[in-house]
Amino acid sequence: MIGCEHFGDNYFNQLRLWASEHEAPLTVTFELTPFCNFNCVMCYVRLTKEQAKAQGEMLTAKEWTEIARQAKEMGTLNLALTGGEPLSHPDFWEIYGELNKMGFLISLLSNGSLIDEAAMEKFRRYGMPYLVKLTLYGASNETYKRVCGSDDGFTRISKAVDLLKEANVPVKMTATIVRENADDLQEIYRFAKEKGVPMQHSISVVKSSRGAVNTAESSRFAFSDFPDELSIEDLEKNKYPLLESPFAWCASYKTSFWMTWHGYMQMCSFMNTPSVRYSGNLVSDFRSLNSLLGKLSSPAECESCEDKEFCQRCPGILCAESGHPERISNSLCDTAKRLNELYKFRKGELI
Amino acid sequence: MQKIKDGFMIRKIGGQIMAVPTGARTSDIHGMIALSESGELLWKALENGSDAQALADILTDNYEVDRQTALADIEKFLDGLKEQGALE
Ligand code: SF4
Ligand code: SF4
Repeated sequence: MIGCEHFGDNYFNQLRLWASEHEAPLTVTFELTPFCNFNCVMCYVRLTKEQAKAQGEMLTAKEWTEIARQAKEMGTLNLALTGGEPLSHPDFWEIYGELNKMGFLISLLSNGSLIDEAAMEKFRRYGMPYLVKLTLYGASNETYKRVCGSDDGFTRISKAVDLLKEANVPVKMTATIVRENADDLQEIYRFAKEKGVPMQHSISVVKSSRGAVNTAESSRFAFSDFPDELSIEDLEKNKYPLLESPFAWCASYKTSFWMTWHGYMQMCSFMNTPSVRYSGNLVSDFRSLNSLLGKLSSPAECESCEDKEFCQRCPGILCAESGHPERISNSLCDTAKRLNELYKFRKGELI
Repeated sequence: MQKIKDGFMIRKIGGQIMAVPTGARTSDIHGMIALSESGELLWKALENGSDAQALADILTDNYEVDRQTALADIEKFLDGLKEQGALE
């Protein structure tokens, strides 16, 4: 038998296994820019020109291409492009065109507003994304105005979905639900269904840990905002398995990295500590990062914590919430405590 | 004469061999094609154009296989490539 078949899930699983055994960065994210054409209330990445300037210089198109070349040598297959809004990068098409020659599966994380006919023409020329993940912020232009400060955001994303579907590009949508768009939730799902796009929503918005100013504190919902809606089954589902090591739940550990717009290698978007400045030698940078990650331990308080089953305390979330992956955060602990109390109450253990 | 369409790149990651569509080729082919070692050998020949007889030569030169079995396997391989949309 001479093997030749579609590279399906079983092959991908084998690749993931290989990557974790060999500490190879199978999946890499390029955060091309901290800038965005939207101005969303809960965004934890977007910076203003002045804020960005204070943090560092943007990597050049040439540097991104070189990083990609080295990543490819190390075994990278999945390459995600994000930002800010990646398509708003002034050299986006130059970078995208180069990356597309290298044999990656490129996914694009975008707000969709810049995916118009002209962009599709360029995709046809340089390569179609393997997957486009669109973030949806509402189900009308009015909501978009409220959440993102954009007048026609919803019209644009609707158009983008149509164009991508026409070109047979797989699309997924995620909605981040905050107070400003909570009333749209049903409409958002109706829209996704009508377009035939898989849809997920999340209610957790992490704090801005990277110098961006968002309104996570006032915009986000906590689980504890609607305890009445949580059944004992919901709570059971929200239980986390016990954590033997800080990264026990994390599928990305030592098999991926995230390169920031200013050239810092970190493990995931949430975790800017530890990070390693790109030195020109990706192999040694990745090794240094993994060695720093390997030294992390869980916060001491978690050991004896009674609420830990209800706590989403991976190092990334801890870092986003408290500024350090080994430090607890009040908001995380409060949520876990409330969920645990509710759980006990539902079980009749607490009156 | 059969020929592989242009725009594919062969990559080897973790002992696996895959043909990844690049550039404009991604417009008509989504995802990758998994190849075995012998598949890769034939793929390389097909990049410049080849036919069943020439492919059978390659297989019998490189593997311990009789010509008849080789030809039957090649037919299935070419069908597979056609199915994946990889042939011109
Ligand atoms: S957020 Fe947590 S689970 Fe996710 S990649 Fe980061 S550390 Fe891992
Ligand atoms: S609730 Fe606080 S102390 Fe308890 S496990 Fe979570 S982060 Fe640690």
